[in-house]
Amino acid sequence: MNPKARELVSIHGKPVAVRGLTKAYGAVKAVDDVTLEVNAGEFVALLGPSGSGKTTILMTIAGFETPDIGTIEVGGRDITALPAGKREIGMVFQRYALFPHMTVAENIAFPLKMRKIGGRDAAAQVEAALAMVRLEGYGGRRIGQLSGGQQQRVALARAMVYQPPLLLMDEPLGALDKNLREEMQLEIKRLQKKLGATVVYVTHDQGEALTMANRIAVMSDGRIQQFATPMEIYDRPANLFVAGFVGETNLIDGELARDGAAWRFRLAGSADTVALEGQDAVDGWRDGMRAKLMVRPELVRVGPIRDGAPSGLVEELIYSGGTVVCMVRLPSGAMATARIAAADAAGVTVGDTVGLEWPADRVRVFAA
Amino acid sequence: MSGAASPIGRYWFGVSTQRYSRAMTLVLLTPLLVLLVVAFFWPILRFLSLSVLEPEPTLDNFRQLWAREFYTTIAIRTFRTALIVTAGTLLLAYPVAYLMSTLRGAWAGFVAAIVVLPLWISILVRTYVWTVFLGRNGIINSSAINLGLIDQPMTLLNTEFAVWLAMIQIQLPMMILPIYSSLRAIPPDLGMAAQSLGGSARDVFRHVTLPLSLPGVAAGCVLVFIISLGYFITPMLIGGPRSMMIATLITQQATKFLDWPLASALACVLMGVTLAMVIVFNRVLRLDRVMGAG
Ligand SMILES: Nc1ncnc2c1ncn2[C@@H]1O[C@H](COP(=O)(O)OP(=O)(O)OP(=O)(O)O)[C@@H](O)[C@H]1O
Ligand SMILES: [Mg+2]
Repeated sequence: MNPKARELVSIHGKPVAVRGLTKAYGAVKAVDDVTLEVNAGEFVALLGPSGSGKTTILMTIAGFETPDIGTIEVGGRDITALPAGKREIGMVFQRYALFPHMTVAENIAFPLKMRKIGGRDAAAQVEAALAMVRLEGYGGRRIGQLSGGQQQRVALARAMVYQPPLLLMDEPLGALDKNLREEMQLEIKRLQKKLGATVVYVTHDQGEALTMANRIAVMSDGRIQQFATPMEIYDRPANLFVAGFVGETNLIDGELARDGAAWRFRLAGSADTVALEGQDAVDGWRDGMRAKLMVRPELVRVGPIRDGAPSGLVEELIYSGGTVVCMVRLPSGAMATARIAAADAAGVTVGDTVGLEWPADRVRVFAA
Repeated sequence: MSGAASPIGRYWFGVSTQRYSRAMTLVLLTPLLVLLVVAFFWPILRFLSLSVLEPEPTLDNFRQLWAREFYTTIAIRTFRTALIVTAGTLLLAYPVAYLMSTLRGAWAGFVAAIVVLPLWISILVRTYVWTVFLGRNGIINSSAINLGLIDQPMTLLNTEFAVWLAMIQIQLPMMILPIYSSLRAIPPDLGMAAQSLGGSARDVFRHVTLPLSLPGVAAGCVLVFIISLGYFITPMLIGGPRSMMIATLITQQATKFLDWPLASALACVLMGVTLAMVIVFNRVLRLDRVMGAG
């Protein structure tokens, strides 16, 4: 690495706290009482469908929107009333927002210029930032001469060169094709780790959120549905929305059945039941209550029929490399998907009636 | 890409010829080209050729222009007027264009209508309106006298100043519209980026908005300057004989003194200078560069 690059080895990431944030546009509550605490140096993804309020939260943190209610703190300091230019927050935009009339180096030097840093100091820092995003020697280029990926690297360098304690990114990879996206995900993650920056990253791509984030805030209708680690979100979604939004999943209709001290789940349209273990919200449960059982396709095993256990008719087998997706019609008429190893699928053919099994503690049941 | 698409051309039509094949471009352009050649280029060439061919091949007409102070004075006055009018129009137009670019919805439509509506009124009418303002008993003089600011009416009409005022006012839309459209073309996230990077509202304007609006400024300036060089009605009606400009002079030579070769020589000079200006503007400002090569 370029020796000058050492000058930009650490950003002192600061904690961020959004408290009780509410923002309405006319009758639409874009953000509804959101509280989000991000640790110093943490990478948090805001994940949610279109219109769920992700950008609005980011814009409020950045200072481009004023909250109706709520406060924003960075490093323990309340910045709710500060103008955007005084917040010391780095921002990366979806379409890069590079200045087309400036060279790459001039773009990166812009925040330094705004801070009255010029001459050799600025040049060295620009060099370091370019090295950091692996664009040494590109300083003299015009923005229009760069590829999308390179432009995004420049945008990153520009947002990091003044070492802001917080970086905000709004779908920064949205305009890139799949391969480049994946490459840039790793790149951003590498930089964030190396520099120790606190990052709030907006995306509606769950794969992106799962691979990059330390914690994910899943949003819908202006509210945070769950704020937890990717693993927790995937394995123990807090509600039906999160279960359905993140990852492939089976949501099977049925009802709760009391079994002494324990609970079982009866599949709709049959008398078949499965055991339930390690569920969170059993307090409100009643015998016979309608519910949905969530089970990830990769947890479903296909085998011989057993009495009283779920079963169904194999309607389709889709080979996808090492695994086979097995579509099974349940007695209720709904489809269940099992992703099984190719070896296990050898004995299964379309038209078979098969038994279905899964670990009792890895499923989630939500009262519906 | 077709070499004919100058930045200004591309600017005005908003599309480049890249989208069509060469053959298609030619087919689409043919009717216009024919009309231009038959009804425009041919007569103009005929007229301009008079300057060097009448009564026999000669450069005398040009020599005469150069030698007589009367002509050079008018030429200098024409350029001075065009420069001042361009500068004045720019100063007044930029803030309006900027305001328009920040407005949305009904207000945007309202201001746009105010800017564009005068274009539907004849230049003649718009020029005469100024006589109402500037005349000896016009609104300005009578107001100033009533307020006790002056005793005698000022001579406002039939001065170069009157010509400047009227020309600036008449040509405002020509400056506002290109500037407005280049301001509107600036992605709003550039301003937000500049702010998040530590810029104040002034920095955003100075380092982002202004430089990125320069293509519009340049287009507007070229347009107004060139149109001003050939302005005819307004200087004639409210400038008086002492503020005569080249276009008026050409008409005089051609229709009053029937000196067609001299009128033709004058027209040659005007056209040559105009073309040179366009080329210089395109070269020096590198309008395509300002917007980035992307
Ligand atoms: N300036 C605005 N004026 C009016 N409504 C707005 C404005 N900005 C956002 N909204 C509304 O607020 C809600 C949240 O918008 P927001 O842009 O935050 O969503 P998002 O999660 O970023 O969506 P996307 O994934 O499509 O970018 C939407 O219903 C949107 O229509
Ligand atoms: Mg958004």
